[in-house]
Amino acid sequence: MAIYDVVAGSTNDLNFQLLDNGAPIDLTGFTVALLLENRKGVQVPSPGTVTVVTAAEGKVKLTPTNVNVFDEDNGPYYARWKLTDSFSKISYVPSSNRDVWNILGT
Amino acid sequence: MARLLTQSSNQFLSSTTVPATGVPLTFAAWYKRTAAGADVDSLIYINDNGASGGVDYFGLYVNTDGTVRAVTSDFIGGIQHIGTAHTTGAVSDGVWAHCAAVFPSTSSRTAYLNGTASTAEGTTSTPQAGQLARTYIGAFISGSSLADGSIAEAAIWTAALDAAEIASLAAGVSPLMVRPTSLLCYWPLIGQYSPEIELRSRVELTLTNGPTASSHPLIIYPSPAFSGFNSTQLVSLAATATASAVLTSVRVIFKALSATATATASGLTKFITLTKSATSTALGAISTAYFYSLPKLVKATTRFLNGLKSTKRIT
Repeated sequence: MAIYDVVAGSTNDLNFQLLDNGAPIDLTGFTVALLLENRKGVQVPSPGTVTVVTAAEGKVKLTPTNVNVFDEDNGPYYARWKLTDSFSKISYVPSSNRDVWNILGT
Repeated sequence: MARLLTQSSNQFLSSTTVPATGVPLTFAAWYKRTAAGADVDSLIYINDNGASGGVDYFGLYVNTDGTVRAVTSDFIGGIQHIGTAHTTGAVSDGVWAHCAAVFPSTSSRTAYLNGTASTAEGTTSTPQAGQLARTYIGAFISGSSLADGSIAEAAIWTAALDAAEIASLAAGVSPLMVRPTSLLCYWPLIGQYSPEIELRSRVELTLTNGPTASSHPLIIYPSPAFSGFNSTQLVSLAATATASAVLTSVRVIFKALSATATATASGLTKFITLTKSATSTALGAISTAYFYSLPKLVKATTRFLNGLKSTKRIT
C-alpha cells in the first residue's frame, strides 16, 4: 500500500510505474484498467482514461475525466490497477492493500 | 498527524458499528497522555449503548496511575463480572506509549505497555454480543472516562496477538504488517478526515466536539520491496555492523515459508534481527520477504524475490 496526495479537482495526468518487487512490470501485451473506490465504498465509474505510456517500463497514466473525479468530500480514494494478459489472466497492483489517494483541498 | 483529544472539551470518536463481539481480540494504540486526571483515559472500547449503564464491554484504557489496563465486563444473571489485567509500568505524560490489550478467551486478558506484558488475569467475563452497540476511541461510553492526550494507530485484531507481535507494534511497526489476515480495524488517526477513516472494514469514526490533529508517533509503514538483493551485500552488512546498528538501520520482516532459515522466523511474519549467521543459503530458503529501511541500504543486483506488486508515482 502506498499513499499519494492528489489535489481536489486535478485533471492533469497522474503517472505511475507498476512494480513487481520493486522492478518495473513489463506491460507488453497487457490491458490495464484502474479500479478506484471512494471513501464510501462506491466505485468511481469513469475515473478517466488509462494509458500505457511505456509498456516495457511498466509506466501508466490516468487522465482524469473531469474536475469532479477527485472530490475532497469523497476522499480518500482507494486504487488498484487491474492487469489482464493475452491469456485473460488477471493480476492486480498493488497485490496487498490498495493504494490510498489522499485528496487535498485547494 | 495523530488525534488530540482534550478531556475538558468532551472530545472523542465513535461509531455505531460494532466490528467484533467476541474473543479472541486484540486492541492496540499509541497514546501520549497530556496529564493524569481524576478519571481513567479510555483508549479503545467496544461497549454497549449506555442505556444499561455500560456493563458489557471490551476495553483498553490507561488508569489514573498510568498503568495500562485490559478489561472485560458482562452483566449476566443480575451480576456484573469484571476482569482487569494491568501493567506494572506506567505511561509518562507527554511521551508516546504503545498500549495493548489481548483477550485470548473469556477467562483471560493481558495488558501491555511498550511491549511489556502484565500478568494474565483470569476472571470469566463474557460480554453479551447483543448488548454491544458502539465502538469508541478515547471514551468509555459517550462523554465518559475520556482520554486526555494524543492517540494514533488504533487497531483491532480478531486474534490474540502474541508477545513478539505486540513487541513489533511497540517498536513502531504498522498494524498493517502484524498478522494482517486478522487485522479487522485500523484507524491511522492521521487527523485529516471527518469522519475519521478506517482502512480495513470501513468503520469510520464520528468526531465529537472537534478533536484536532497533532504530531504522530514514528511508525514504519509497508513500502515496495526491493526487486531483489545481493545476499552477499546483506551478509557483509551484518558482518560489519554491530547488533545495535543493525537494529536501528535495517528492519526486516520475513514471511518465512521454510523452517530451515537460520533467521529466527517461523512461518509467521516476524520482526527479527539480522545476524552474522544469515547466510545466502539460509536466506534462499525464504521465498517472500518485505523490506523497509531507514535509510535504504542495498540496491537490487539480482532478482531474488517475486510476488509482491506495488506502485510508484512518477512525474
